[in-house]
This record gives sequence, C-alpha cells and structure tokens, in this order.
Amino acid sequence: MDLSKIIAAVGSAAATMEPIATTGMPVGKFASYLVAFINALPAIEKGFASAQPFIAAGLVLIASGGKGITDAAWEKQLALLTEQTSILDQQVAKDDTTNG
Amino acid sequence: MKRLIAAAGIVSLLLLSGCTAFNPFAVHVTQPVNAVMVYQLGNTYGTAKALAVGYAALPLCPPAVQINVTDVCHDKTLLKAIAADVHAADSAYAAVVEFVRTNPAGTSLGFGQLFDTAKQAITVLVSIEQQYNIGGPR
Repeated sequence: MDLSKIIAAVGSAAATMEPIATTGMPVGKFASYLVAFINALPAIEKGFASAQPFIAAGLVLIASGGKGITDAAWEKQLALLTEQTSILDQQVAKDDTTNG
Repeated sequence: MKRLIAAAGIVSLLLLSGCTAFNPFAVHVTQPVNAVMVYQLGNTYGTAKALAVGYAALPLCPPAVQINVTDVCHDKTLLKAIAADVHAADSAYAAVVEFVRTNPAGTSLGFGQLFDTAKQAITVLVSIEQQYNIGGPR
C-alpha cells in the first residue's frame, strides 16, 4: 500500500468536494481525520501483529480444552513477551536521543 | 502531567513494596491457581503489551503537543512509564511461569501470591493504557 498516493488522493478530493451533507463536517476536516488515520495505520498494524500470536495461542488453548501447554508453548510465549519488551526499550532509547 | 506522575507513582510503589493489596480493578484471585490460568494471563499480558507496541510505533509527539484526533503520536514520558511497568510485569510473570513449570500442580499460597503479583503488575499496565486511551476508548 502506497500511503503517500492515498494521502495525495484524499487531499485532491477534499479540495473539490462540498461539505459532507449528513454531518455538515467540513471536507477539509474530514480529510485531516482520514489522513491522520492513514498515517496511524502502520502503528495499528504493528500492534495487531504483536497481539496476534497471543490471541492465537489463547484460542488454541481453549480449543484443546485447556490441555497441551508444552515446554515449547511456554518458551514461545516468554520469547514473544521478551521481544515486545525489547521493541519498547528500543523506542524509549531512540526517544531519548530525539527532541520531543 | 499530574496524572502521569500519579500513574508512575503507583507503578513505583508496586515495584518497591511488592504490594499485593492494591488492585485498581479490585480483582480477587482465589486458589487454586493452575497452569492454564497462568498461560492465559500471559496471553492477556501479551495482548495488552501489543497495544503499547502499537503506541510506541506512532511518531514521537513534538514538544508541547497535546495528543488529539489529528495529531496521532506517542509521548516519550508516558512510553517510558509504560516500559518501566512492563519490566516489572515481565519479572513477575516469569517468576510465576517458573513456579508453575516446576510445580505443575502448584496450589500453594506462595504460588497464589506470585500469581497475584504478576496479575497486578499487568493490571497497572492495562490501567495506564486505559487512562491514556492507548488502543482507543473502552
């Protein structure tokens, strides 16, 4: 997905459209919301990708009737949790070297 | 900022005291605790932490910018507070997992306390995320 093309298309559409009839929201404002949402999509995708293995593991456990927590399953879960913490630590370290 | 300091204070208190009495959601854990409960706590924790991962992936907020619907960004002070709680929760959860793996039938009081401590550390993470609408309003 080429986000810059989508944003450009939204911007040019906003310049030609009338205010949205149902809400009365100015098109420019609607477009800015849409652009903000599109800009947030990569972060949303990262969050979802990070959650997905845990949701899947929970569903597998339920499907198995609460059995089958193997050593491998524990190790995988702990490794995933460690990986998440590492991502957060890396971002904190990066922020510390950036103005914000 | 005051709310952030308060949230960080709660996290610090929990870390320093190993407190098991405080619980923002008044969740009471009863015995017995078993491996399935621990494993699912880990999955819940991972899902909650995924919200923090998504939040961290947002652009860094410029100085003095209030987060709103069009300035979607992450606050570095808040992220730091989340990371600190995550480290506490990781340690607490790892301790429970270690116990349940070496004592599969563990129903002792000690096990329950470990579980409670891990659960509370994770609850603090969730409460911080809720307070700041990370992952959207609930």
